[in-house]
Amino acid sequence: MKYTLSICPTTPAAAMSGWYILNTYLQKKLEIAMHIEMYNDFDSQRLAFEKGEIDFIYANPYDATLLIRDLGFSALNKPDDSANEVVIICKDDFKAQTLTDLESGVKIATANDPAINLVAMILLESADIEASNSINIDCSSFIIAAKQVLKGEADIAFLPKAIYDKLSKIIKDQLRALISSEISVIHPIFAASEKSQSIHTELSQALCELTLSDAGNNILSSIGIPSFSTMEQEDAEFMIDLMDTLK
Amino acid sequence: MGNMSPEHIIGDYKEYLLQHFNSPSRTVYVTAIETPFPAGKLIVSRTDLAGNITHMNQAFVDMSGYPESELVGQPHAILRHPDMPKAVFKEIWDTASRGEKWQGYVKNLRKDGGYYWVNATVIANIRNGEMVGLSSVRRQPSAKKIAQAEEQYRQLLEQEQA
Repeated sequence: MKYTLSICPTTPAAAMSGWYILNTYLQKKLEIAMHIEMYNDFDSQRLAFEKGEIDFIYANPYDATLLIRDLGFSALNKPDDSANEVVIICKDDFKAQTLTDLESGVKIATANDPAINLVAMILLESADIEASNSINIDCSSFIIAAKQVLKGEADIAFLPKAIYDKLSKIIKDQLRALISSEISVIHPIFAASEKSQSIHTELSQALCELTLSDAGNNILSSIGIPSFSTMEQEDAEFMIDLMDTLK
Repeated sequence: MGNMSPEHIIGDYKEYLLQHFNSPSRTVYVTAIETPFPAGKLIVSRTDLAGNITHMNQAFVDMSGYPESELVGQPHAILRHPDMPKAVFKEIWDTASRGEKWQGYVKNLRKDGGYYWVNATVIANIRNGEMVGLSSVRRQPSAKKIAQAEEQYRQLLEQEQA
């Protein structure tokens, strides 16, 4: 049987080669055939896993409900210290000093990442900013969203904390973090389809054991994840409950 | 869940006797000191079907003013503020029991007698088709909506006490 692995469409370009190396590593380790299928956006990826075309997925937490409760996927692993934290940025000289200074009509640059957008919009609720009284500027990536702020085309942008932290000092000096989330309970999941059940245990163990070798640690470093832990079904159910309260 | 202790209270306080649905009445002491919601965080907790706290995150512990050991296994009503009408808690339970999501503003009581407002969402935890408890996630409230909730709850409380 040939398996298909897919990863989150907003995975940073720098991490892509690492995922291909991980795929090769897992094929050798488990003696299976598996290829990576990339999708440009979440909608086309969702369509593919609804049609049963994906066996393994490093999934955005937003999709956890659909994958686990509706399509029968199992959550095998979670990344350690890789919560979906969000930073809302503005230009350094932007008039708003705090979130509550934001006004109706604020222009928001967003990339198409549903979990990041969900958390960021929740942060904005305390300032009475919602979709109906703000202007969304769709961007093809987080970096383009940050550029929209730098150019003054957008007032604020939503960035994953991991990307904000890696911006160069020159760029960061021109920006300001209005707020950072500290939620910690929402994170991506490595999920597997029912039809791949025969290798769930082996695959999950292989991911957890990446830290035991230099090669494994190099792969983890290249995909920006310090380590994987196993995930109990109840952990996944709890995260889904939390996501459902936020949607 | 015992009565609150005056020695834990910070600042001038008023005394109230709260009648809870499923447990004995409780004497609480209330001050006018507000603790602001921690920016960027969520307060998360779960209860069993009896309303007793089974899980919580650190933000829940920090905002309550209680140590974790004094919260686990206690009724969630340990945080009930006398400014909150009973009808709101009945609505939360009835809504979640129907499998629907409840969202609204809640004023919570701290161990030190102070209070904090939250924008709360409550859902039932369904496992294998059965409700096993409730999850509650609280986010930072908006000042404008707190003012609206204060007025609405004041009117409800007057009706309950009439």
